[in-house]
Amino acid sequence: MQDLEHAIDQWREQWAGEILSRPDLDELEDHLRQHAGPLLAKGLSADDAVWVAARHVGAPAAVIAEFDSANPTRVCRKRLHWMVLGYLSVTLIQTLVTFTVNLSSLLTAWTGASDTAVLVTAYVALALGQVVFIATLVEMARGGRWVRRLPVGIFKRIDFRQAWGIAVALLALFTAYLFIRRTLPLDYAAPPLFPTFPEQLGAGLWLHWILIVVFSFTAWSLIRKPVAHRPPLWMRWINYATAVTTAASVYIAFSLLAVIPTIHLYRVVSSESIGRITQYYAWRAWALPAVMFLILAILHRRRISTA
Amino acid sequence: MATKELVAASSRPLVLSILERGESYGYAIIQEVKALSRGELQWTDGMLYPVLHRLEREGLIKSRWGKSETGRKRKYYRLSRDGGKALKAEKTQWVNVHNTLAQLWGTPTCKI
Repeated sequence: MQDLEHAIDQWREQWAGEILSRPDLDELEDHLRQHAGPLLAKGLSADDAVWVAARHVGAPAAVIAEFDSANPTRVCRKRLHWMVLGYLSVTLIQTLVTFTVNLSSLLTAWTGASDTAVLVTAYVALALGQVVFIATLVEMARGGRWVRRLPVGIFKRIDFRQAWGIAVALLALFTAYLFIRRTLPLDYAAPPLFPTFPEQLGAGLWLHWILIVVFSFTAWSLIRKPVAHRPPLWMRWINYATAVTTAASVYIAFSLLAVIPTIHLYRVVSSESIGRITQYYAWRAWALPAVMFLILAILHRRRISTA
Repeated sequence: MATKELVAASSRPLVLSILERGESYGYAIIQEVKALSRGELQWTDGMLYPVLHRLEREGLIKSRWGKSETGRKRKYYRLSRDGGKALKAEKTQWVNVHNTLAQLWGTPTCKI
C-alpha cells in the first residue's frame, strides 16, 4: 500500500511543471488508481502497475496539449502564468543582488576606503549577482521549469493557482509597504534620465496602482474571454505590452525597496557614487524586464505555435 | 480500428450518449466505450478529460465531486437539459452520415 502511494506520488511529480489545476490532476489520479487496481490484483508490483496505468493515462505533454486545444484560453492563462512567475523570480534575484551591492558598499565605506574603492566593490558585487541572474534566465529559457529541479519538496507540490496566489500576495505586500514608507528620506540627486524618479514617489505610486489595475483587468479578460485556438495578434500584443509595463512599474517598486539601505548610507558614501548607482537602477528598471519579456514572448510564441 | 480523427470526432456523441443513461465518471465511460466497440475505438485515457471539461463548459453536462466505493473523492458527470438537446442533434447528424453511406454500400439504413 505504501509502495502504491509512493509510486503515485512519483507520477504526480511528473506533472509538477504543467499548468494543471489540482482538481484536474486529482481526477487523473483517480483514473490512474482505477486502472492500477486490477493490475495489482493480478499480482503486479505497485511500480509496474502504476507504470502501465500511467501509459494509459498518457504522457503529460500530450494530455496537456489536448487540454489546451479543448480550452484555448488556457494558452493565454499559461503565458500570463509564466510571465508573472518569471518576472517575480527575476525581481527577487535582482532585489537580492541590489542588497548585496548596497551591503558591500556600506562595509567598504565603513573601513574608510575611497569613493573609487566603494564603487569598485559595488560593481564587483553587481557582476557576481548578474552571473546568478543570467544563469536563472538561461534556466527559464530552457523550459521555465527550473522550479521543479529545486531540492525543496513544497515547490513540487505547488499548484499553479497557489503560485498565482503567492504572486498576488507578494505584490500586495510590497505595495502596502511602499504606501507605509511614503515619506522616505529621498534627499539625494535624482538621475537625469528620470527627473521624477524617485522624488515624486507619491505620483509614482499612483501610476504603479493604475498599472496593477490595468494588468489585473487584462489578465482577467484574457482568462475569461474565450478566444480562437490561436489567440489574435492584438491580444498577444496586449499580453506582452502589459507584461512589460507592469514589469517596469513593479520593478521600480522593488528597486526602491532595495535602494533603502543606500539612502541610509547617503551621508557615508559620496553623492557621486550614489548618483551612479541610482542611475544604474533607473536604467535597469526599464531595460532588463523589457529584454527579458521580449525573450520570453518569442520563446512562448514559438512553443505555442509548434505545439 | 478507427482512426484518431474519427475517434476524436465521435467522442462527443459517445460521451453524451453514455451520460444519457445516467451519472458516470471518466474511467467507467472509457471502459464502456471499449466494451461496446469491442476495442475498435481506442482512446488514450487522458484525452477524455479535456473533452468532458469542454462539454461541461458548454453547459451540456454537469459535474459534482462524490465518493468512490473505496471512499476516495471522484468526479461524476451527468447530462444537462441542453446536453439532451445537443445529443438529439448529434443523433440526427450521425444517422444521416450512416444512412448516406449505407445507401451507397447497399447495407440497411436506420431511423432514430
